[in-house]
Amino acid sequence: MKIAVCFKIIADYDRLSGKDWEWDECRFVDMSFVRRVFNCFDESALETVLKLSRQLENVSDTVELTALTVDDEQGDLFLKHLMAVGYDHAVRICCNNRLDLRFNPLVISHLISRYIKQEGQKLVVLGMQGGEGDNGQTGFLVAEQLGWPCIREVIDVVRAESPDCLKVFSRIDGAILKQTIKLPMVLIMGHSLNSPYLRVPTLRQKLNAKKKQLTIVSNIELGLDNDALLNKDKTLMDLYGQKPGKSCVFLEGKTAQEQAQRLYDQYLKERLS
Amino acid sequence: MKAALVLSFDTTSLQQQVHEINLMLNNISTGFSSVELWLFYKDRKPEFFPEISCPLSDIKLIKVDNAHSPESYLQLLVHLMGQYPIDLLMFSSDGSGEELATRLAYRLNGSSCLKVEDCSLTSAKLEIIKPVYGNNLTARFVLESSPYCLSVAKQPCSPVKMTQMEFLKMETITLDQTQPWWVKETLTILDPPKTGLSDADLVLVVGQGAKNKETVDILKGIANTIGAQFGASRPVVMNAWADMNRLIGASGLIISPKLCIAAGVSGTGVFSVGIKSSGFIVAINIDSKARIFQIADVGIVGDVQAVLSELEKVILVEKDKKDSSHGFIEDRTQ
Ligand SMILES: Cc1cc2nc3c(=O)[nH]c(=O)nc-3n(C[C@H](O)[C@H](O)[C@H](O)COP(=O)(O)OP(=O)(O)OC[C@H]3O[C@@H](n4cnc5c(N)ncnc54)[C@H](O)[C@@H]3O)c2cc1C
Repeated sequence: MKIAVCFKIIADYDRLSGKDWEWDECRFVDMSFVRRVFNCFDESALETVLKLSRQLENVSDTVELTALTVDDEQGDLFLKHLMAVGYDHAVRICCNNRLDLRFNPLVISHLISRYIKQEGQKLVVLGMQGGEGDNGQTGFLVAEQLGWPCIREVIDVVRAESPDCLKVFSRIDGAILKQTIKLPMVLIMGHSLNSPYLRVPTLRQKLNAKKKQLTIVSNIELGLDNDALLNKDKTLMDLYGQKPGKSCVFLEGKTAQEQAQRLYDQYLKERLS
Repeated sequence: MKAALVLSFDTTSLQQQVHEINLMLNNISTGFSSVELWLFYKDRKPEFFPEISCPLSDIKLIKVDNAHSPESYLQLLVHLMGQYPIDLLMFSSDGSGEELATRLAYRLNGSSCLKVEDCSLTSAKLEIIKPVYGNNLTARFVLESSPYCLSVAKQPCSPVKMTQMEFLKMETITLDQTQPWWVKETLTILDPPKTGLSDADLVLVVGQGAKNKETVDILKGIANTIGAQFGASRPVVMNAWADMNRLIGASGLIISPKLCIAAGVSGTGVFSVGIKSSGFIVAINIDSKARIFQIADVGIVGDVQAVLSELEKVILVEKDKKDSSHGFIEDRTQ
């Protein structure tokens, strides 16, 4: 079975203080100095599929895993990492750098679905939010464009008895839904406790991956010219920073006991009564 | 501009969802020529309705056969939009609302946007405000094509009341629905009952600064003794140190207790959005530069376990004092 996982590399916002947020006249926020990381939901998606592929291979299915991202060269390091942990193909769809794709999940999903149609994957797995736009829509739009069923907030996926089905666990309004679904399908990962983090490659795996080739595909090769990548859905008018923070009063004290006593006497006593 | 609010009667959070939609309606409803409520139901036709903050022109009760299948809702919505075109559809803040808003707009060549905090009409175009860059910035967009399908942003818990509406125009819509052929088998496993965290007055939220499950368990105990509900940041939940229904933040619960103690959390945008409307925030962090202090009223630079254990002792001593003085007064009156 051919499976694709679509992922996004994002700037690690955890590293930024509240004051680091500035943008230019085109409303671009310079993130070049910030460490980049896998979006956490995508990381779960990538690990979940590695586990699923083991199960499928155990019953003699041949499984072909593709990791796919729409990014510039900065994505290559992460693609190599994915080849090291077991992805057979690492694909980067590259577009003209001057195009603003931050708030354009429609175009991202066009690029992804074109690639999937071309390569014939039967299962597409994505994360559910994150990144600059925090659009949260790419997975749904990929499903629409492929005309496939879509399950959101997936927490796990395992092999089913029938080879053309998968068992999918997802969260839905105060319950967990366990469904046996016929392929093809799009799965959108939520918080997965079974696969919260991506595995770490061994040194040997890393060295082997170095020799492997990444696949770089341009939007033109996918039949979408630069004009087709413009955002015709919404126009960004302005960005706003956070409102100024509160002026936090720091409680001094030589020991934790002193600090706790002050906190209680000055602030909590009346609030807790 | 005609608007419709699209909701599902059988969802457990209907009253909260309506509160979130009401907040948006308060700012924009004067721009609408009409506002309808499109309410899906599964088995029993609704007799009570959530209180909506603007006058409704119509209620459509729509029977859905397969409540777990987004495709069923989408087919019904596409059909309804063919019969009764609407310019702006507002959906709930949950995953279902987000999915329907996105996919419906795609099918109808409209524009969609999720987590919308505010919207307004300017020269016949819809402008919306939503968080971007992991809740560190907010963006204003103009949406280009109608129908506009929006899912609203999550807000702190404040469920509206249900009322028996004396309503003139109410129609029931039942249509043939194709069953999703791709679903072979379905089983629903119910989650544990609600925790009471979303509407608690006192909450202790613990982050990765707690370092391990043992410490988190001790902190849960402290929460219990001081009468606080326990919340957690994403890493704490993902490390299985706390249950998923304790997750606070953009992808968890948005809370606004009277008093929130945030201990060992760094305070990133996606976390802070979950507690920033609390009445009073106390932050405890070992790093005096941690971002959490920017949204805190009071801060303690110190170790989470040490400070909270001491605080627990202080509270217990004070409680004892109170109990014994209470006992003394009672004794005197005997
Ligand atoms: C799309 C997306 C959605 C997300 N949604 C959420 C969400 O809803 N909720 C959420 O929480 N996160 C969410 N995250 C993750 C978020 O970005 C942060 O990684 C997370 O909030 C950090 O949690 P933390 O503060 O507990 O851990 P850390 O960032 O590791 O912070 C730990 C803090 O503890 C302090 N500390 C260390 N030791 C001690 C000690 N002994 N005593 C006191 N303090 C100590 C440190 O100084 C530090 O500030 C999301 C991320 C993404 C990409």
